[in-house]
Amino acid sequence: MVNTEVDTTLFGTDVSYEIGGRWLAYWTFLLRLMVGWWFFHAGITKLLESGVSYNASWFVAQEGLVLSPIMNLFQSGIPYGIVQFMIPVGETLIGLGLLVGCLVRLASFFGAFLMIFFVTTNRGWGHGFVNSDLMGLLLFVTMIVLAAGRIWGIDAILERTMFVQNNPWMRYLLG
Amino acid sequence: MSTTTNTDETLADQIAMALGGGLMILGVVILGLIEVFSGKPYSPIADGSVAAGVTIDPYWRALLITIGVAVLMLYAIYVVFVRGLLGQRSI
Repeated sequence: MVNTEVDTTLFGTDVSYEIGGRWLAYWTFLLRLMVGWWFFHAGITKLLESGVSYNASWFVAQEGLVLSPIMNLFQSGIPYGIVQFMIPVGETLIGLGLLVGCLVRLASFFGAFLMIFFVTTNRGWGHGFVNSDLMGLLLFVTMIVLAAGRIWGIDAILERTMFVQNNPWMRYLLG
Repeated sequence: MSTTTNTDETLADQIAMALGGGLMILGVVILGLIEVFSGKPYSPIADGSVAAGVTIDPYWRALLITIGVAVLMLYAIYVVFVRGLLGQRSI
């Protein structure tokens, strides 16, 4: 059982194709670990350096950017505390989820959510317009589409439990 | 050879794919091509900041990408809550 036929349509047009299932599974797993480590490392080092008091003032104070009106609401008080907490903790949990393959789609959703902020606050586009942040955003969407947690991940085990079998909507969060 | 199961393509699927992906392709690829073919600067960024004489302000390209991603995220939420709760087949 090597090849898999993806039998589907796009906008009503048949685009079915055959693909090497083994390599698809292998590369999806590899990508998941890479992306997971990237975010886990980014988060855990922030936690080790500054705990849940990450200095995000430069991040939320930027003006004239696409998401500035939203970010500027989080410049002080409790909202700023939430940002200080959520960036390191969120990155760590998202990365950990991908590394062990647990709640991969949910984790990747929040990963993509974080990345759109990083993409649009790219310190004056210091790394170009199409940059690693944009690639990271695309990778998180890829993790969702490919259900990367189903390959040697905890999600593969969870999806075989009776609880998930009886609540198939959970496969949208797992996988 | 194993075969994946085909699922019905709904209007919501098509709107999410066309609008979400379309806006991202517009922001990154199409406007990028226009930037290249409209002459120097070929990239909106030079020396780490927005280049002088850029044809399309990267702000607008970033806005298109943001809206495109937002469309896909809203679709994801719709799928979980509407299709999931209705008990339709999950993927």
